Amino acid sequence: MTSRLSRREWMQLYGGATIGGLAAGSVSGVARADLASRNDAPAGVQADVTGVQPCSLVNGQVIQPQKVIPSIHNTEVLVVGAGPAGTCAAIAAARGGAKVTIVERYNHFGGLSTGGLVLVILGHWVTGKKQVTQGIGEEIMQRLDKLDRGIVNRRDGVNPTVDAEALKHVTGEMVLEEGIDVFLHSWAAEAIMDDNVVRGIVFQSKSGRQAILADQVIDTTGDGDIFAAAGADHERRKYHIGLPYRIGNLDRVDRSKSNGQRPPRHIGSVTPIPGVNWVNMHGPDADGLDVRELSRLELNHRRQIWKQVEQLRSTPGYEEVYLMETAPQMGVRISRALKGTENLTLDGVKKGQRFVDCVGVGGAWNGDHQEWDIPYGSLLPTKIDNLLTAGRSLSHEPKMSDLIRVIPNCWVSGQAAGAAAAVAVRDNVLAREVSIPKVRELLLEQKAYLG
Amino acid sequence: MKAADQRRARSENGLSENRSDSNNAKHRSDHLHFWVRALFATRRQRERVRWGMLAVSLALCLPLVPWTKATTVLPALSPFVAIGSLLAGAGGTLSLFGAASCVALVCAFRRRFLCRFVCPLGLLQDCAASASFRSLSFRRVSVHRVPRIGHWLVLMTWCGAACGFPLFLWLDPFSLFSALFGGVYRDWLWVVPTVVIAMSLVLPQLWCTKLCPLGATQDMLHWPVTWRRRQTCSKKRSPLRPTPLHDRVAVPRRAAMSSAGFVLAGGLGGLLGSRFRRLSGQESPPPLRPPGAVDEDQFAALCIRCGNCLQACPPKILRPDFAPNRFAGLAAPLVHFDTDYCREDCHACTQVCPSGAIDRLTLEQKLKHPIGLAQIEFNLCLLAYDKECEICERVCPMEAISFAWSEQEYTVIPQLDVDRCNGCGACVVACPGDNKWERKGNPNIPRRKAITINQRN
Ligand SMILES: Cc1cc2nc3c(=O)[nH]c(=O)nc-3n(C[C@H](O)[C@H](O)[C@H](O)COP(=O)(O)OP(=O)(O)OC[C@H]3O[C@@H](n4cnc5c(N)ncnc54)[C@H](O)[C@@H]3O)c2cc1C
Ligand code: SF4
Ligand code: SF4
Repeated sequence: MTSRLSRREWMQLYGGATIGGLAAGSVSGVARADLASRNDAPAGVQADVTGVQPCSLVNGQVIQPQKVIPSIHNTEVLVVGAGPAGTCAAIAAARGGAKVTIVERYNHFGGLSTGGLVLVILGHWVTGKKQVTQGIGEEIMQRLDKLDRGIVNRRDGVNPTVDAEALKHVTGEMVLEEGIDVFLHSWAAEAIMDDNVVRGIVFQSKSGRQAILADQVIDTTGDGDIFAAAGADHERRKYHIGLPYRIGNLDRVDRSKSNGQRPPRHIGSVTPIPGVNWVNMHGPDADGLDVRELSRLELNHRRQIWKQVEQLRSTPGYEEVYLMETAPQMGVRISRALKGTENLTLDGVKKGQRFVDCVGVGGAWNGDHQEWDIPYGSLLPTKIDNLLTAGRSLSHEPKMSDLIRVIPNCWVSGQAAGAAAAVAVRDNVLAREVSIPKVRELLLEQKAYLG
Repeated sequence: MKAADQRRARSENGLSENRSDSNNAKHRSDHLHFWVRALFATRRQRERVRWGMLAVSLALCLPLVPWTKATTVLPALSPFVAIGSLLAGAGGTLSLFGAASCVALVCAFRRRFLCRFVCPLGLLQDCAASASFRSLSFRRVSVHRVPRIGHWLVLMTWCGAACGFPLFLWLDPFSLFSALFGGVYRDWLWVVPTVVIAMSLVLPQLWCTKLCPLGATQDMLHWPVTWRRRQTCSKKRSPLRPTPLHDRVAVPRRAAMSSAGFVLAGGLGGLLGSRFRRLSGQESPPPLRPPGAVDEDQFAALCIRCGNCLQACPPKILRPDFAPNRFAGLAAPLVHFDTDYCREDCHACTQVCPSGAIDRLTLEQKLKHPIGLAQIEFNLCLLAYDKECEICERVCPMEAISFAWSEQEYTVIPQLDVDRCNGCGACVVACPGDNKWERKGNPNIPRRKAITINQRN
């Protein structure tokens, strides 16, 4: 294939190539963006960034010309992906005194917990009905409490359900209050590396391909897009991918017609909106990084949801029920897991293992076991520096997935990553060298629970 | 020799030290003597031994000593239990019978050795009796004319054991004592021993002389000696000394009567023992027993209801069975999974059974020894309602549960690996899926979880 190009020419072209932004799923393992911003522009780089530079088809291969990507923004802490983990990370870092920027591919905050229509807050309490999720997570719930129809079932020992729009509103307000820079509709595609240190990211949006430089980067994309792009060690996993949805008119159900009978399948559970239920979906084990798979599942799931609602409507008494919306965002539970300097194991949780670098405490789904420590090492890649992760991609063994990925635990790990990044910026040290006591102190200031 | 010398030297040293500090020491020993007397209330040597044995028994049964098998010691000393469970087919626990055979040997030569020196229950009865006559001024009723039911009980039990069910093995005073102090009070095992002790408030000596099967066993073990003594007595034509209470077998007329009685008791015991399981109602499948329990037929027979296993179980999932429809296993331990499960790091109950009803298992053996088998009712599982769950997979210590996607149900369905599951119940305890909807309409319907543990077939 390379015979027509000289080896040198090929290297130049390929080494400078940035990959197609939308196929973030194929980021891993491909050459990183080698931004020439610091070095002298190598041969073949065109300084004209405004000019059109289409890719070319060379010998059956799509080649992107090497080009300078405009660096449009400088920040201290850059949070990529604003799901539960990302929002808490950004807010914690901002409250820790850092200048924070968020890059999010969709048009709202909350990730799966809003756009993914995952509405049940699961895992914030442990045996003895003790709530271990405090800090920003608890603040979010308290703010929801104050809203009309923001959250239901907020009782001790019960898993509450939130309204997606209310959660979008609350997190949006909190982000604005902290003066955080926000880039929505911006899909992060590349990590900018300086040897082993992450310096920022390249993202794609309607404004084209642009870069943001940062002192500390937090990857809360859930899928570990950035740590994979940066070349951090990680594992790819398959897990159930489903598509939750909401149904309406439950207040018009005539239950007398089906008294004493088993409730129909796919009826879901209550939400803060009267007459509206949330229906979860498990889905098969699939690769959340394979865009073909995601597309196929999306269509299958939608077809199935329609079938399920029709089935529900054919149940006596449930004729009025209708499909309100399906989640705009596909429900990928686990895709990549970082290989951190510390790995969370289920055995450790069961045995009550504690860590000296504990920066958060995770809970149980039904308060059926003890609390467990989230060590800083599970957020920290083994080799890459100034990069942290949090949320469902932190370092854990497969058996731990269900514990680390639930929303409250993502809030907690996100807040921990944010606070650590803020301390690193303040002390001007690498994320790896950050002082754990200082991070814990900042977290305690932010009302986090650390055991 | 050397050791003895040393010992002597040491004691001499001790003496000289004492002497050098004599005044003080004397004072102290007076003091001590007062309290010892107050505590023992008697100066007689034997009484002191008995009090000592009571203290030791308590330390073993509570147990105050840090030894897992401590609670086994007392019941394992009983030759009544040892012979009974041997006849009923207890196997593989030979170490249990070692202690009892030694004791049996002693009892053959020293009449009622256990009663006189060891039995803590007897001492408690004596205390109750003396208290009642001193302060409660109960009328002392003579039990002189009561026949020796104990002998009958022993024969019925042993013959019953040989034919299928050792009828009164649970009346062994050592296991009663164990049940009184070791047994967990909420489990009602304390009732029988309390009745036995309370009985001596009004009828002192009734239990010990007439009812106690262990006492009777000792008498029987002593028979050869009694018999020889009687022969020598009659040869010498010596005037009959006033026979002690326990030696009244010596009277020929009574002896004749009782031998007929013994045959009768043995026959009756055998008959009852062979029919007992059928009479008491069998249940199939049998209920869940502790891990390592011998098979159900034998288990109900061999268990002496000492409560050791109930007490040993850290999560307290063993409770005595009071189901009316199976009284062969009355008060024998059952496993309950309503509050907790059989821990993967524990094999305590298998270490403390004195009768061979529960095999001694190492931890590894216990993990493979099934209590039962989990059964998942998908209809009640949260996954059937699209809820986020899979808790059972997470809690299963044997990694016996996994999930399989079903295109038809359009969800994942829990799958059980039958070979891995040991019925520990961890999944049952954690599973949040149940028949809530059914109970909403009718609260009388019992709660049923999506996972239950059933007997393996
Ligand atoms: C179907 C389903 C049901 C669930 N049920 C429950 C439940 O009942 N209770 C519960 O507590 N948890 C539940 N969870 C788990 C929980 O919702 C998620 O694990 C949790 O929201 C993860 O938070 P996160 O912040 O780590 O990631 P996410 O919520 O996935 O957030 C990641 C964010 O990053 C953005 N992003 C991703 N890639 C990029 C990129 N390249 N550039 C820019 N932005 C990017 C995304 O748009 C998103 O906003 C469920 C999950 C699923 C899928
Ligand atoms: S009873 Fe349940 S938890 Fe225990 S081994 Fe079987 S499947 Fe696993
Ligand atoms: S724990 Fe119970 S409800 Fe949950 S998945 Fe297992 S069987 Fe179903």
